[in-house]
Amino acid sequence: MLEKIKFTLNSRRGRKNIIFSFLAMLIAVIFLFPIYWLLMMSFKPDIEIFAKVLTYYPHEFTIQPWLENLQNQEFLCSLRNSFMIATTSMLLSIIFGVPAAYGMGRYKVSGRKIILLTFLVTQMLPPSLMLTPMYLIFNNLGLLGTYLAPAIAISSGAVPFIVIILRPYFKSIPRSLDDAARIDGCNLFQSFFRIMIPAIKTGIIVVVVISFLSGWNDLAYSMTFNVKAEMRPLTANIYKFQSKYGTRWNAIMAYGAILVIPVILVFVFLQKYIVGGLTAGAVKE
Amino acid sequence: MRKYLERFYSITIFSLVFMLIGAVFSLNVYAKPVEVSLWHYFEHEAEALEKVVADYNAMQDEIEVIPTFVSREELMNQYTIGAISGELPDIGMVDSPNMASFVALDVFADITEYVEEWDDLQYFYDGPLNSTMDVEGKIHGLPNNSNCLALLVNMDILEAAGFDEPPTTWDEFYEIAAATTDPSNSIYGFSMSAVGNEEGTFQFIPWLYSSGASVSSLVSEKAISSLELLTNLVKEGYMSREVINWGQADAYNAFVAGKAAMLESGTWQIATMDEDIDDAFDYQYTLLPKGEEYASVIGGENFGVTVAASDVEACTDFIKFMQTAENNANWCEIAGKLPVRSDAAELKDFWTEDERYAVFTDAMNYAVARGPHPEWPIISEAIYSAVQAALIGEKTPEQAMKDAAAIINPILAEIPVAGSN
Amino acid sequence: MKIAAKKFEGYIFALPGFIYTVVVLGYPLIYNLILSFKDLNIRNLRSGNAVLVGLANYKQLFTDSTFQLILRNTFIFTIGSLVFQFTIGFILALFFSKKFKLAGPIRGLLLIAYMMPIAVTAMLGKNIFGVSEGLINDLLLKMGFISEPVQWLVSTSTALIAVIAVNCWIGIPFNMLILTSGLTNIPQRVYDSAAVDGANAWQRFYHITLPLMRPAIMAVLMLGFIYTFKAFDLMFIMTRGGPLNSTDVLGTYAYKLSFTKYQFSMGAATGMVLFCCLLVIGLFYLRLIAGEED
Repeated sequence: MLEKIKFTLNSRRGRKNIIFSFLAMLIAVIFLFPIYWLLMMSFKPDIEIFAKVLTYYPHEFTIQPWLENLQNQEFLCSLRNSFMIATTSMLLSIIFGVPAAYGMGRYKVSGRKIILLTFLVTQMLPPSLMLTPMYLIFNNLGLLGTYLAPAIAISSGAVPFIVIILRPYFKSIPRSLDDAARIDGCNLFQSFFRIMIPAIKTGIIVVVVISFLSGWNDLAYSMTFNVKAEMRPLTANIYKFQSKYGTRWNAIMAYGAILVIPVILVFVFLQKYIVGGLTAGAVKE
Repeated sequence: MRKYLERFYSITIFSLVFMLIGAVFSLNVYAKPVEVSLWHYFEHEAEALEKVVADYNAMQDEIEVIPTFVSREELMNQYTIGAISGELPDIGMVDSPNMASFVALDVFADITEYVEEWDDLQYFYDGPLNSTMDVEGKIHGLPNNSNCLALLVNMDILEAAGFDEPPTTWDEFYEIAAATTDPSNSIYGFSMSAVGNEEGTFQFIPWLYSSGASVSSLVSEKAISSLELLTNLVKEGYMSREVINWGQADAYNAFVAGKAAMLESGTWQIATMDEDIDDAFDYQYTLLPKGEEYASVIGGENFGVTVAASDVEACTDFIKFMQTAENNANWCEIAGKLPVRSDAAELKDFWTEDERYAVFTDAMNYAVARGPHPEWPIISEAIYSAVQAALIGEKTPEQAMKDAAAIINPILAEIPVAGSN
Repeated sequence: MKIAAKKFEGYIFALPGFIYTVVVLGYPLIYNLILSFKDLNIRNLRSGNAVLVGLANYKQLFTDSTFQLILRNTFIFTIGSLVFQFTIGFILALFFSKKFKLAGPIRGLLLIAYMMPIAVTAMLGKNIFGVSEGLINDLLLKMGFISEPVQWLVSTSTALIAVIAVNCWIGIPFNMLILTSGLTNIPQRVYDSAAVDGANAWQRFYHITLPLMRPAIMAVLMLGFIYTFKAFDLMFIMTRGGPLNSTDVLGTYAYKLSFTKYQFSMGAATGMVLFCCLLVIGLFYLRLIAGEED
């Protein structure tokens, strides 16, 4: 062990490793300090929240703010709704988005510019313009108050996003792979599923995560299309918490922390894929 | 042959069973009351509401009311979109100053014909009832509860500063706010909400009317003096500048935490006060201090039947049931509100016995309504913007009031406030 | 013949997604376009006689001083956010593309800021930029940069800065992520051969990294611009556009017009202005990438 450490310190590469790792940790500490703040605030008693002097760790530790939220009946239900809305919209986004990115990236489709422009245009509509007309559509389709309504609204915005992100990935796949696939006797779809998708695993994971989170984070659509408590996601209840707790930051922060925890879990769960994918390089030649 | 017989029997038996099941089902459908949706934004009062609904559902079989909680902000949005799409609940709750707008947007149905013959109508107070009417005096709903604003005082802080009594006039109020401010412990003399929405307007109206001015005379000396009073509090550090981002819950939290000597407080806050203060200090309610006259402002919610309701009369019947003297009294006792009918107030003595409620019951005599006016949201925005601009020193109180009047006066010239005071 | 078959294959993949988005989003666009040329408000919704007024709503908007302020806010917010989040995001992407042990995990950790629901981030921002009990003021006071608390969200001159800062915090990891994927696609060989030719670090960055990263840079700036320009959730929860419209942007203002003032046509017109600004930028982007394609 000691030998190893000595070796690390003596080799140039090892020193670089340590210096850079230290710098990276410093960056992380500074950048993620607000998240520490969020968690820390959620364990402070009221008296400390209103104290004149700001404390950087809870001098008196309490889980009361957490209990206040977790003992709330609606909470688990909202959590489930958040996951359902996010998952549904992610699936819709991927089903429509990935093939479109492939078609746009690999083929000389005429009218490509028009299609690209249209995709971009759809990204440009602000939520306030969407709410009323979409409400009218979903009302006619009888989708109001289902997971599908917000999911469709969110995914329609995510599909173009996926195309824009993934197109360069698909373009970067060398032609030799196409030929190899054809020689192996793959048809159109087989080569898409067996060759192309695995070739850009990184990009796929990135868009899966991003499209899931755009559903997880959505506020305006879910709030407008799903009125009933049993269909609402967590984000949509934030209003209620703001009016209920006002400046009781510990209770609000505990609620926020509960909302962030699944995000952190998703990250821990997928991080090795994301990071592995990002550092591996998309193309193996 | 036997096979055939068996088959015949089995088919017969099967069809009989099916017929029976069908009959049972159709009977059920036949006797099933019509489902009626009710949207509300009651939080700690939700249980009381559900009880009233359950009672009503049990006593008749024509309709079954199903309550759904929707937060206030969103309920407004749903009505707005509903006005365009026609997709609305059958019965809806609405904040009283916003009712006129939704009546104008054709969200709430005219129920005059179902209530004008109703004997109980005479007992409803004018202020709350007016807020359900349109310009022609047609009724679109019934008020459910009332509240108003009063001054809440932390007696411990006052006594420590050498005052035994809460203030009664603006001068005393200002003097006490100055004396009780303690920057070293970050205690402010006064706390209120001046946030950029209806709550901010609600909290400013009492000061405006106390000066002797009104919404239609914002450029008068009196109106300007009311804004000057509050601006000076902030300027001198007796009130936090942050009140422009504080809702009423925030201002209340500051008071409960002992960070404000005085608070402009609403009736509904009594419900949780003792629990929150937890004997940390003695408090006392009193009327908001008097400029030229005592003043307060009426708040509260109404229930209306929407134009989407399949049976307006049946839904109206439920609202009437909800607002009988007895139900209204029970309801307001649980929810920490004031009744909307004089005979309900007489049913329980705590509105006069409990000295906190007694102050609010008294304040109701001086309380003014906001509107009713279909363009109230625009009037309200002009008012809270003026208050904010003056408090953060963006404009002088005089300039702020002039700018607000420039927006409000043309609107009032076109459509005056119904039942103008 | 072969080319034709190829094209057909491309359409098989591209069209479903295209049709899906056009169907879902086309209607709202047309709906609002028509609405913005009408005069629909609280006074005539009931009677249903909203008349066509042509460009009157747009004229009214552009002569309105509040709207001019909103327009200014939107551009300041967008440009301010983009400059900082792109620069810092790029620096971080370069830093983390170095090969050292903790590069992967920490790069991943930073993503949490981007993954958090904006609603939560906005609440956190509201707290951190508090005047008397906020973290930022406390730190600045302790370090001696300021002698008395900054009135962050209480003053019209500083509220937008606070909102931009929070928005950058969300945007930096996103920029880093997209740019990193661009960086990893540059083969190490290219750098090695450049190093052999005696190019220094700056030359390598300028002549190799930047040109090869162009598609990724363009994409991230374009998307960043679109999402920042139509921001809504952040202000809606952090400041509600206040104090006095100082943090209102086109996205929130359009919402307020429609949903709190019931001026439906004005709200639609504001939304359309936002949309047209983005359309111009989008066309510009397409021209740029068209050069790279053909």
